[in-house]
Amino acid sequence: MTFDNLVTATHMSELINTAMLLFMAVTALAVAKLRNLFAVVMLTGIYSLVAAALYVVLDAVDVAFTEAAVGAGVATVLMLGTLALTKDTEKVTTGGNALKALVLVTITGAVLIWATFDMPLYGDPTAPINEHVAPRYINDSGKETGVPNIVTSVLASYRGYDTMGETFVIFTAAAGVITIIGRAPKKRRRKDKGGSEA
Amino acid sequence: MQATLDILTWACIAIGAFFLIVGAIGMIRFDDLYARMHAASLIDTMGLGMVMLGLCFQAGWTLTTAKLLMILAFVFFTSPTSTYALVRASLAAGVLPEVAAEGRERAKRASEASG
Repeated sequence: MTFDNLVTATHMSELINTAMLLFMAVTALAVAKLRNLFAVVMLTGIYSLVAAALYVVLDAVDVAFTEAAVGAGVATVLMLGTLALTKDTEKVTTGGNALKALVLVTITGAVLIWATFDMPLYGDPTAPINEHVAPRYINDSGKETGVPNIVTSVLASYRGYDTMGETFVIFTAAAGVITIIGRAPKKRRRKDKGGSEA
Repeated sequence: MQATLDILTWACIAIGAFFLIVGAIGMIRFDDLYARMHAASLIDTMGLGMVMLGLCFQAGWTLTTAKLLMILAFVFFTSPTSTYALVRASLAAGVLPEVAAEGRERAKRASEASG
């Protein structure tokens, strides 16, 4: 029995997916319940890591890269930096109506699940999304663009304008933030020269 | 009818472009953090609002107009919230706004020093 036969016979992929989704659910519940903010920040990093592993199992490696870099990397570092400026336990708040919130969340979740009943089966080759441009990308992207990776060819060539817009937006946002917040003020107060410094 | 809509669109987009440029110049040239944030808020409200309004005139009564108005509503919710959070954080960090009298003093000292 080959390894592939063993995997499909024991439904190993489905088991791994279910186990990782269970991990994510347990981590999310722990994030909501814990009061120690340092542990919460670490748990959000763990959540992103398990999500990245799930994306790898689902064959979306580029999404896994992004999730690991942003979620487990940058977001955790930023939150730890913020945590250095505040207290490390969450302030206990009382009040608020938990029952109404639970009802609203249940109704929204039920409606969302009901909406998935009309969707095609996961990975169905005859689903409309696999018949529009995906065959052209798969068949012709190597000849037309010369890029070996299909995802890269879609990002950089077929939808190049979208990528350009994204780059514009991120650059403008960073430039705007630096312009508004400015640089750190100089230590010495300038008495006689009323210059224009931030 | 189409000509009227075109004129309205031109007017709205021109006014929006004017506010965008003014906001951008203010964002760069102002000395005070709070003045810069006020200039940036011009971009989000008048600049974006006027340009979107002009585009709504062009789109007519279609789904595109609804989407544009939803984008506008979303920005009107998030932009003041983020500005408020930023200003509150600056005040908590100890950055004080420059009052008008101090600004005039500084300008007078600058002109005396250079003049």
